Amino acid sequence: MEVPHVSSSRFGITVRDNTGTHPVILLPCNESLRILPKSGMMQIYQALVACENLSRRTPLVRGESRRIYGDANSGGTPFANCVGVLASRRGGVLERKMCFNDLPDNDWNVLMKMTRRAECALESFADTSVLHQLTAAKQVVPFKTMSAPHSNECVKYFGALAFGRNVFCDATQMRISP
Amino acid sequence: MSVAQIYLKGSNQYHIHDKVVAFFCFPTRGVAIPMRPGDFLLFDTSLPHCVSSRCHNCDDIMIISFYLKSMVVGTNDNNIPLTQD
Repeated sequence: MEVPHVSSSRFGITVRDNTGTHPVILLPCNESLRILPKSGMMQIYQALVACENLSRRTPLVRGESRRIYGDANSGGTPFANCVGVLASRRGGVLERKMCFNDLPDNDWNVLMKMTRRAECALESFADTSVLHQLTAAKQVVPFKTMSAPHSNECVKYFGALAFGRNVFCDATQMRISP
Repeated sequence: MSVAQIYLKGSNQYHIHDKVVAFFCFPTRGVAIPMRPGDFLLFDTSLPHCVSSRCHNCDDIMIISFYLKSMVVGTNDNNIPLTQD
């Protein structure tokens, strides 16, 4: 497996496919640092730990095709979860898991801001075709995006964020349902 | 497309010369992307992908991914009539 080396913080890494699109883009370090909050990164880490504490620990096995593992000394069982919009088993879409309604507003604020920063990275570096596809879909279907419980604001594109502490996983692939 | 990032516990500001904390791998493309704390990685989720274990046992890292699922875009409702669009 090739590990690309970045010689300068002004350069990122892209993988180009046969059609000319870029399925993988690592932003230049300079740009990543510019997008990150100047107030520091501990807030976002602590907000995610707060989410971790609120959620129920469930087994990290999603059938034979997908497993998530944790290091032996990572402090207990491996843990991963998602915050934001999710498809309901009874049909339709839920705003968020019930347990995250109890997350303090300040932590929600931090998560929303970080999601907007990720969208900023997407808008700045993703191929134009990807952004066209997203905006076109949004015009046709008013799909839900991530929002905080006590606020009317929602982010532009992303529905949710998934996180895990000291985890690693098998190769996975999102398949689009026919 | 999704966006992946890694945060490092105990570090309030990230810097250009921070060490690599984990690798984000794309096995079918034969590429492992070295990730430093705070790096933004945009990737197409239809490409098989996985994340390595942390490079340093002393690190405490949080791996995060921002995404939009097609099931959410489709509102998970088969009663919506199809349109020409």
